[in-house]
Amino acid sequence: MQGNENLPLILHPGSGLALVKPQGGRIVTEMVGGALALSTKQAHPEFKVVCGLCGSKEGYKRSEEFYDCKNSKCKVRVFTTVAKRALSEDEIRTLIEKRIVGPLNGFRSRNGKDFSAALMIKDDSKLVFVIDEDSDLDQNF
Amino acid sequence: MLILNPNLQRLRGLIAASRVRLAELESAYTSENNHVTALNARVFQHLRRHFEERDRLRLVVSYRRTFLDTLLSEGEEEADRVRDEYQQADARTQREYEDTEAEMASKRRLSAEEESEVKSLWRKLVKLFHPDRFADDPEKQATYTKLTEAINTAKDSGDVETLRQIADDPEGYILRHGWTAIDLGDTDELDQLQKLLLSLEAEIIAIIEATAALKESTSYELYQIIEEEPEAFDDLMALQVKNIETELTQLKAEAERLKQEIVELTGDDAPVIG
Repeated sequence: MQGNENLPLILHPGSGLALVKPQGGRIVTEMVGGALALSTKQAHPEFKVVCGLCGSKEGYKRSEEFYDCKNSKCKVRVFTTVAKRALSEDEIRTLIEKRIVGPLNGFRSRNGKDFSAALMIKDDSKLVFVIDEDSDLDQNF
Repeated sequence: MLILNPNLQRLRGLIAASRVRLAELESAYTSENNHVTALNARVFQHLRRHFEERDRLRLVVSYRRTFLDTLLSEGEEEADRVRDEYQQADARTQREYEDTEAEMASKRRLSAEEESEVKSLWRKLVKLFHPDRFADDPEKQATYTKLTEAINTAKDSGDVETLRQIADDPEGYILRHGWTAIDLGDTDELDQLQKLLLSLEAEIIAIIEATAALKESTSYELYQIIEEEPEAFDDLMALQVKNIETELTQLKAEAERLKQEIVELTGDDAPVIG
């Protein structure tokens, strides 16, 4: 079984024995981490970020499926899963702030083809892929 | 006429005070660690089926991709090797879940009575702590090491029965295990008592560090959330299951697509990897 990043291994100098033993290994660590991440999202629906499009510092409101700019005049909505690929919180933050993130791997097109692309927020607040000119993929969602 | 050595008296007082402190810290750690571990076990029991299915499907998808790549680039013989590697990886995953199941099966939260007993047990157990006493005798040192290992294992797994057996009759516990007998009583030798005091102080620091490490863990963070709002447990488990089910649907579709591709290439519709 792999080590658990959850608990550092502590050595008791007195007894000379390794004491705080990680329990449950990789599997339990992932399960607990997943539950905690969901809990944090539920507890903190506010996502502190400066909108790269409207410049609002009000932040974004997040749900399971998407992040919305809290400025009611701004229409940016970033989905947490795009083309079958889940975006990480860091990627979403970069996308909102810089209006572009990537290129990122692991997207899948409608006809099941894997591809890499950057994601960009256009001036009209729509999200688009930025992909190689050679690619035959549809650039819109 | 009895002449008391004032240094000896002072040392004994300090050792007694250190033991009280160590017992408090050890019982608090045992209790909190038990709560966290019991919650980990609950989480595992709720999510095992979904996570195991997901992990095994991820393997199927990953190895079917590798199989296809190998078949196209290196030929059938090399591709067959991928089948063998998949079987081994799948067996490893299954074993990992079975091992975790075995580890988690016995984890349960201690009752209020057991928690209060843990405190009194630790008051006895800290008196067995003499790390330097047997340094000159390898056999006795081995017994001491085994005894402290047994205590630590019982502490980490919330095994009150073993802690009770050792605390109530350490010599009997040692005898029952066939280990070399050791004298666990306190000595009157000044230098031994000085070493004991230093060791107790080091042990106090170690258990404070262990408690801090426990409190920094994600498991502890989740434990605190659930303690504050017990109904959040079911909500969080349901959300995790929902997320995993979404991934399972995608994985099954991908596994099937890859299977069709392999069948088309090999002309063999026998189950290919998974």
